Amino acid sequence: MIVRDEVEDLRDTALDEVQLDRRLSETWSTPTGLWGALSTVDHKIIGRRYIYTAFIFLALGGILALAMRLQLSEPEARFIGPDRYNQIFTMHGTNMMFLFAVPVMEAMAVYLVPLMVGTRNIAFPRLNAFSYWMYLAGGLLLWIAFAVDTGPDVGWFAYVPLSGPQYAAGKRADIWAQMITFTEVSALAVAVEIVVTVLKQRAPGMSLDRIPLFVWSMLVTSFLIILAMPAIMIASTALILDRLVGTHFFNPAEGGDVLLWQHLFWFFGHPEVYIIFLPAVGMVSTIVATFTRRPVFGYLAMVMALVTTGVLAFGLWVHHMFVAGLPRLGESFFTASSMAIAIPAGLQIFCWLATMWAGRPVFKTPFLFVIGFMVIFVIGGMTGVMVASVPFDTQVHDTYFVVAHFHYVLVGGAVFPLLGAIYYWFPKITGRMMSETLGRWTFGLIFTGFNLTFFPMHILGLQGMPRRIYTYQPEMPWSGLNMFISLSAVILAAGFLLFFIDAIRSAASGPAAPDNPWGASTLEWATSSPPLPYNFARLPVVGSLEPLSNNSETLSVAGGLSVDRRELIVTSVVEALPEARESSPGNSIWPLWSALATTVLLIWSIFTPWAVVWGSIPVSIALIGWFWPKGTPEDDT
Amino acid sequence: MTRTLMRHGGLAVPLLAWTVGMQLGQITPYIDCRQQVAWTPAFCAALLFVSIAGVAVSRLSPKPIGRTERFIVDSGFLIASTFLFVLILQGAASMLLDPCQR
Repeated sequence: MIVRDEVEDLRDTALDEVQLDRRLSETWSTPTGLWGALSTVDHKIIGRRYIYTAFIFLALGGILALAMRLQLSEPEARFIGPDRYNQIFTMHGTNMMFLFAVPVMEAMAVYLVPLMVGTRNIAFPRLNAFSYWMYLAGGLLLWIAFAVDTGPDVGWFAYVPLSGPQYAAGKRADIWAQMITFTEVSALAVAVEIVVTVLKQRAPGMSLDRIPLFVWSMLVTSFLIILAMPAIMIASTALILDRLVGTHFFNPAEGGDVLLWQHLFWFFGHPEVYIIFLPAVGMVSTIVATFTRRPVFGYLAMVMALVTTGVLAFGLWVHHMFVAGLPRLGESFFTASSMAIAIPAGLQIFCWLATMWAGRPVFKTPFLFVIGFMVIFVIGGMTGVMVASVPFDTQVHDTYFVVAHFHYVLVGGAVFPLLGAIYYWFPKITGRMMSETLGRWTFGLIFTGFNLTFFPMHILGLQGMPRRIYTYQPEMPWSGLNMFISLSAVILAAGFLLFFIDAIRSAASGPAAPDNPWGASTLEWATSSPPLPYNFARLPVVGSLEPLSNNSETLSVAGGLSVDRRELIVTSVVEALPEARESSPGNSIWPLWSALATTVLLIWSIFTPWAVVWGSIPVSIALIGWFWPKGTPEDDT
Repeated sequence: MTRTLMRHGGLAVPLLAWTVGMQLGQITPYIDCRQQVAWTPAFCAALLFVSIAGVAVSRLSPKPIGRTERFIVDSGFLIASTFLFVLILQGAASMLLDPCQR
C-alpha cells in the first residue's frame, strides 16, 4: 500500500504567472553540466540531439555520394578500388535509410508532437532517452567499422547468399546486421512513445478530427514502424545466427530459403519508404496551411490518404522481387496495390493544390521547398507507377533508372519537405530565424542540382547502365552523362553546404524569433520560442482544428495540475476528454547505462553467442535500476 | 454495441479481405497451375463480395450521432472504398493471367 506524504500539493490554479513559471521551471528543468546532459529526459533536448546527429549522418552520407560520383565521372577511373566502392555504396544506402531518413523524421516528431498536442513531455521519456543512445551507438558502430575498413559491403539490403557465411567472410555483414538491431530498437521505442503520446496525452478537446495533420502522419508512421520493423530485426538476427552459430535459415542446401530473406527484408523495406514519406506529408500539409493562410483543403481526405497509404504500404513488397521468379499471377496482386497507392498520393497532391488555389500563398523559403517537393515527387511517383508494371520493371531492374526513381521519391518526397520543415520550425527550436536570402539560394541550388543530377540517371538506366558497378568501359555510351551527373552533384552539394552554413550561423547569431513568426495555427506556436522546459505554463484546451487561427491570447487552458512534481493530463482516445493527472518520469541516468549495457551485449554477440548470456547480466542490472520503484503515486484519476 | 460494431466493423472488412487476398495471391497460383482450377479468381470474387457486404452493412446501419464518430465513419468509408478498388484490380488481373506463367 502506498502511503502518501502529508506534503502540500500545490496546484497551478493557486499561483500567478510569475510564481507558476518559477515553480514549473524548478520541477521540469534539466540540471546544467555533464550529468544533467546525460540524464535528461526532456523531449526537446533529446529531439534536438536526434536532429543534429541525423544531419551529421546526412553530411557523411553525402560525402560518400560525392566519392561515388567522382569514381563514376569517367570510365575506368581509379580513384576508388572495387572493395572500397562496395563498402561506400553500402554505407551510403544504409546510412541514409537507417541513420538519417527514419531517425530524422522521428526526431522531428520527438520534438514537435508533444508541443503540437499540447502536453509537457513525450510518453515514456526515459525510453526516449534510451532510444537516442541506442541510435547513436548504432551509428558509431557502423562508421567506426567503415573507418577501420570493416564497413559492410553487401548493399543496403544485404541479400543472401551474398551476405551469408558462404560468400561474406569476416565481420562486415555482421556489422550491418547488428547495426539494424540498434536502429530498429531505437525506432520502435520512439514509435511506441509517439503512439501513446498522440492517443493519450492530447490536450483536452483535441478529438480525433482536430489533430494536426503532422501529428496524424506521425501516428500512422509509428504504427508502420511497429508493424514493419520486427520483420527486419527477425531477418537480421536470423542472418547473424546463420553466420555465427551455423543455423540454416537462408541456406537452401539445408532446408533454408534464400527468398525468405527477400520477403522479410522487403516486408519491412517497402513500408520503410512510407515511414520516410508520410511524416513529410504531415510537414507539407502544415507548411501549406500556414503559407496559404487557410486550412488544408480536405482534412478528411488527407487523413484517409495517410491511413490508406499506411495500410497499402504492406501490400507492395513483392514489387521489389519481380525478377525473382515468382508466379506472374501472384505478382499482379502487388502491381495492383502498387498502382492503387497512387490514389491516396494523388489525392494529397490535389488537396494541397486546391489549398494553394483557394489561399493566399506567401512564397517564403519553407513554401519554396514544398513546391519543389511537389514537382519532384510527382515525377518520382510517375516512374513508380512505371516500375510497378512487371514487364517494364523486368527491363530496368537493377539499372540506374531505379536509382533515379527512388532518389526522386526519397529526396523529393522526404528531404525537400524536411528542409522546408527545418526552415519552418527552426525559429521554434532555436529561438532564431534563418536567413531568407540564403534560404532561397539554398533552395535554388538544391532544386537545380538535384534535377540535373538525378534526371539523367533515368536515361542512363534506359541505356542499360547497371547499379552498383564501380567502373565501366569507355566503349559503353555512358561516359558523357556520367560526367554531367558528377558535375551536377557539385551544385547539389553546394546547396547542402549553404544550408548547413545558414543553419549553424543562424543558430549562433540569427535574428531573435517571435513566438509565432509565421502566423501559424497549431499549438506549438502558442508557447515561447524556444519553448520553456515545461512547454506550456497552463495546458491548452482545444476547441477547433486550428486553435490559434483567431488569436492565441484567447486560448482556453486547463488548470489543477500539481507544480511540485512533473504532471500532465491523460485524455481519452477519441474525444480527448480529461481522464487523469499522470506523473511524468524525471531525469535519470539509467537509460544511458541500459543503452551502454545493451551496446556491449549486441557488439559482443557479433563475435560469440555467449555474449547473449553474459551480456544480459549488466543489461538486467541496468533495467532493475531503471525500473526500481519510485515510492510515489503514479497518477490521480 | 451491435450498431457500433456494424458501423465500424463493416468498414474494416475490405482491409481484412485485402490482407487475406494478398496472402492467397502468394499461395493459390501454385495450386491453380497444378490442378488447372481457377481458385484465385474465385477467392477474389468471394473477397470482393464480402467486402461490398461489409461496406453496405456499415452504411445501412443507423447514422452516427457525434461529430468525431461521423469523422471516423466517413474516413473509414473512403479508406474501405480504396481497398474495394484494389480488390477489383486484383480480381481483374486474376482473370487475365495464366497461373503457370513465371
